[in-house]
Amino acid sequence: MPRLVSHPDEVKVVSRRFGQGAAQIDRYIELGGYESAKKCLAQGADWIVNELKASNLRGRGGAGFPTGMKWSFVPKQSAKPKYVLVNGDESEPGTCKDHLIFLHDPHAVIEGTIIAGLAIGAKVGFIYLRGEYRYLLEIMEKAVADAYAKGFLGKGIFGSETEFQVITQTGAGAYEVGEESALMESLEGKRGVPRIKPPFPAVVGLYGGPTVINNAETIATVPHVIAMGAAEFAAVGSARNGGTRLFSISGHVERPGVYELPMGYNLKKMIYEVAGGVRGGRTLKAVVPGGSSTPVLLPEEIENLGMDFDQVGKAGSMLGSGGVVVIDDQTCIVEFALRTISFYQHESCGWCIPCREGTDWLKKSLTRFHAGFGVEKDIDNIQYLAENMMGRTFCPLGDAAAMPTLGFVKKFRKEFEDHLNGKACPFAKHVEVAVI
Amino acid sequence: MADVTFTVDGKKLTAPAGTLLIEACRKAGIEIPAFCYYPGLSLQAACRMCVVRQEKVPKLQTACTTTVAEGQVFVTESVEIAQARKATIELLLGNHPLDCPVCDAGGECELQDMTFKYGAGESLYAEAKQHREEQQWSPAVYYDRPRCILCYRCTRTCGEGMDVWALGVQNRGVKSVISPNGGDRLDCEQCGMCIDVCPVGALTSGSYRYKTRPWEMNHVSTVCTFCGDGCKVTLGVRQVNDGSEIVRADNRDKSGINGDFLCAKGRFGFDFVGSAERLIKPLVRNAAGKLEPATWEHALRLAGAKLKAIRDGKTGNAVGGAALGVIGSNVGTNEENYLLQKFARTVLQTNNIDHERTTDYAAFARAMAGHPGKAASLREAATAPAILLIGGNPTEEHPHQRAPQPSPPLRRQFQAHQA
Repeated sequence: MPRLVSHPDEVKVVSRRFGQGAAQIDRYIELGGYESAKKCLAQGADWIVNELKASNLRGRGGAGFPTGMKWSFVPKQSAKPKYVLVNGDESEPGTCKDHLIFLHDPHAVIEGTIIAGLAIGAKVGFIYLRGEYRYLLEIMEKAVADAYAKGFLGKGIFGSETEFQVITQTGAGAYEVGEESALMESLEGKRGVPRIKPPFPAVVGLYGGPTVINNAETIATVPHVIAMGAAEFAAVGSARNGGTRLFSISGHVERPGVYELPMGYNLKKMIYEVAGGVRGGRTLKAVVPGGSSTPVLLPEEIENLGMDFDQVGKAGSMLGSGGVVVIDDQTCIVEFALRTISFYQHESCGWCIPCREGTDWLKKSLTRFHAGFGVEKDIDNIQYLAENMMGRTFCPLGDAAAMPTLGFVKKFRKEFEDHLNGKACPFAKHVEVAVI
Repeated sequence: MADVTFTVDGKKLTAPAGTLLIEACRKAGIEIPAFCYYPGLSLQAACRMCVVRQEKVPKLQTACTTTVAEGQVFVTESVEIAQARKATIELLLGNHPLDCPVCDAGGECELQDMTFKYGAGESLYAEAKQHREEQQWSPAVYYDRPRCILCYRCTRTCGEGMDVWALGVQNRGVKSVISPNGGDRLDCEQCGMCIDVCPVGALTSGSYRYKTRPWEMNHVSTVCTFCGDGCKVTLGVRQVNDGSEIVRADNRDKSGINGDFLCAKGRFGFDFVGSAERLIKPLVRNAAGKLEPATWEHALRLAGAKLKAIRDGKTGNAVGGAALGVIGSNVGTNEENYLLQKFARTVLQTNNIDHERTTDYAAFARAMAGHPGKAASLREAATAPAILLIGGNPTEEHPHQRAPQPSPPLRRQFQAHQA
């Protein structure tokens, strides 16, 4: 169980109730819970959507799509039922924020789901947790049952005529179902492979109905946006990036953990001040800014880097899921690349050729390469493989594997070359035996 | 849908709005390669071979899922596109065994053709291929897992097309395999459609494998004789020492009422042709009353003389042709039955014409008499919203018109494509 950390620079919005027993519904209410949902019920759908648009809240899953705009795409009239779907399939390596939300503040997820339902006119919301979060499901299920008992969920919520039901579900252990359309397949009880888009979920989603699918952190942020007011929330962050973000800082830092910092917070400061600097006084070698699928950044690239979607994008990487992985100078980048690609090789759903075969050959090549059996041509081949996966796969998982690989090869080519000519890994502690 | 005009490789094309780009191009003679796309089956966009460049769209798009609209501009062949397709083939060939010289599909393999076209001639990998043992799923169907490129044609044709749903996908990522419903065996009607649609040599036929190279066969079109559906069938005929033998049956040009459909009987039931018990010479009864082999000339002359004698004479109470009767066959073709009745009426001068379904069909025909337009054709049955079936077993008696089971829309779509 991750311990809670804190730092004076933190702006506690989403994590405001962490560690305060808010998983208990009475305590949650005592801390101001469910007031936002009641307010939204009174104000109506258009007001909610406008408030979200004004807040500059952007999707916390990784793509950073503006939440209010996403909700506005759902047609007002629909022959099929509309759904709210909460994506709690938190699987991106380096990311452990949703975990804390489910653990400490499950009612915020329920309240956000209700608000999303009111905004799009849905009567049912699904909260989908990754398969490995089965133990968090108990907490989530108890919270849902408590909310039903209080009359916050059900036929007439908060004593109104409005109906809203919430159903919880876990996956079966697949990174791929973090992709929204694969998640819907999984929730419908099918094999977790992505769907062809268009149609997009806002038009044809779960069970064929218009569906809003949001990351769990996004949904848990929504009640706070309503409580603070859009303007105040937007003011916390940077331009076009409203509010705060739960940054999961891991790797070689003194104080790893989940910190809530304003959008646009300087990455260098995040590593050296908030997380206490590089572990054991070592030197920073590189940093993965937004979960393992985002291209690695060099120390000189983070000097003035504000952590929001636009600035990190401009720096040639992505803010992604906010999983900051710090790499010190004792780390072998080839091994790091191998570890990263091993994950994507294991998690590729196998649906399309470039991802299924590409991740496997990248893993095989890197394994052999790292074990000291590499030849000069391998470096180009690894880059060629990754370049030919980029943008060619069915869903973003292929890009998620190719992007970081390209970053490692391009920015650390010298380190790849140091593995050549039968030399063992210069950093070797453990070298996986290559199967030739 | 109204027609729209769009540009492909600099050429203006016109097609109904919403047509799939790959289909619109094929109609215009622009071939776009694809493994997973199969007309009439659900879309997959999984093989990524049909990628094309659409103006103002950042990524390459799959032609099998792109629908055409007014004013769109596409490029289907360029250095970038050829590279994308070549890279996909290189990835496939990484694990695909290069056993083309002994592979059953060698010579009619789509992966082989694509490799030739896009020039993925160099192996990029030093590591071993992922090998897995071949499986025999049934006497009719073998599955060679390393050769499988996971285009999902077999699973879809079995499910959506045949409404049998005997095939699925098992495992994940590079370990994914096609898996039969019985775990290690295939419990189904063994129609062999999965073998037929397989673009490579992953699914092979127990009766055909290792008998011939595809280019050693002549392809002979005929009509299947097992039931009255009249499916077209193409026989693969090979020269052997003492003549020729049939080694395969399919419908490779997808023509006829059945498209590429063939049932188990049509696909596998041709061994009777070479049976030692089969009557291949006419027999004529000799003076002693014993049947003796004769030449066709002799037998036909004899039969003609006897028929002529009856027609021109008096047999019991019957005068002339009235003494003769002709029984047609419901597994003969329309053309053959037409000629038979014409022969009966004009040459034998008899109207005594019948066939084995007199009892029920005649009653049906009487009931329908005077109601023009009430009898449905096969094509109409394929698009009917509902079919009321009384008696009979379509899978056994009329495999092509199998009873609609769950999921009729897809089955109809498939059959409509077939028709």
